[in-house]
Amino acid sequence: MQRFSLFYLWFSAGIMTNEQYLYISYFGAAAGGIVLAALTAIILARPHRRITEAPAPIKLGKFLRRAFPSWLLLAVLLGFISVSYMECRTYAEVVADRYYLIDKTQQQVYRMSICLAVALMSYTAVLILFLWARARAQRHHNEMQNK
Amino acid sequence: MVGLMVWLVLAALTVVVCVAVISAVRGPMRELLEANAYISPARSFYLRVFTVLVVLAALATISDAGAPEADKAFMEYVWWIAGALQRALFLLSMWLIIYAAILAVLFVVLGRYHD
Repeated sequence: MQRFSLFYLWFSAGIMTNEQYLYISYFGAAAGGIVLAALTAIILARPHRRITEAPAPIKLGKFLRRAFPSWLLLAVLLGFISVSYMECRTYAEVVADRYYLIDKTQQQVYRMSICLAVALMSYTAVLILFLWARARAQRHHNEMQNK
Repeated sequence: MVGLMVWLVLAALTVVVCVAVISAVRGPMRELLEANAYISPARSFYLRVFTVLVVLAALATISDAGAPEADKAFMEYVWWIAGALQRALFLLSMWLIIYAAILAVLFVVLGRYHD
């Protein structure tokens, strides 16, 4: 089925050539992905800090606070670059087909969203280990105080 | 314009499904995450992550579905919406079951402690 998108509605009125559209959509998608990762990190920053600011294990908490935004950003960039434009096509063939360009941009947004979601889910699993370590440290601390 | 309208209907349906999933799961999830003092610091993080996951599933669905062509029969639009919505439902069901497994592991590891 021939695809027809909102992006096409905006850009199809002879405003720009296919090559210009390729530049704008490619770097626009990359910028959008970075903004998406940054927004996610900002939304989750405060509750994440509440978990990792425990008195023990303090170094692991500090490491996780640094690693979390980088992890999200890397996942989004992985999703972005996992879409290939040159699948058995020459550059001229890629640029000649506007529908192909639109389809690739949509694939990039889709894969960035999926990669970000998978990164978040795997991070929540890692955080269980941190919470476990934190609980052990707290219990050890409480036992020492009771003695 | 018909294609755009159909795409907007898909977007609205996706948002409705996502809001329904969030509102169905959030309450019990909050109760689970208040089980004891070792889990409760993570409550708002896990709740927010779940909301973000559902929003990402909606974004993936909406972004990957370009609007259909204009000259189609009514039922073709319905099937097009159903086909696109299938992806949203698949993603949401996968997120939900994986997240449930993660929370189950969290509860197994930390739920045995008492305050």
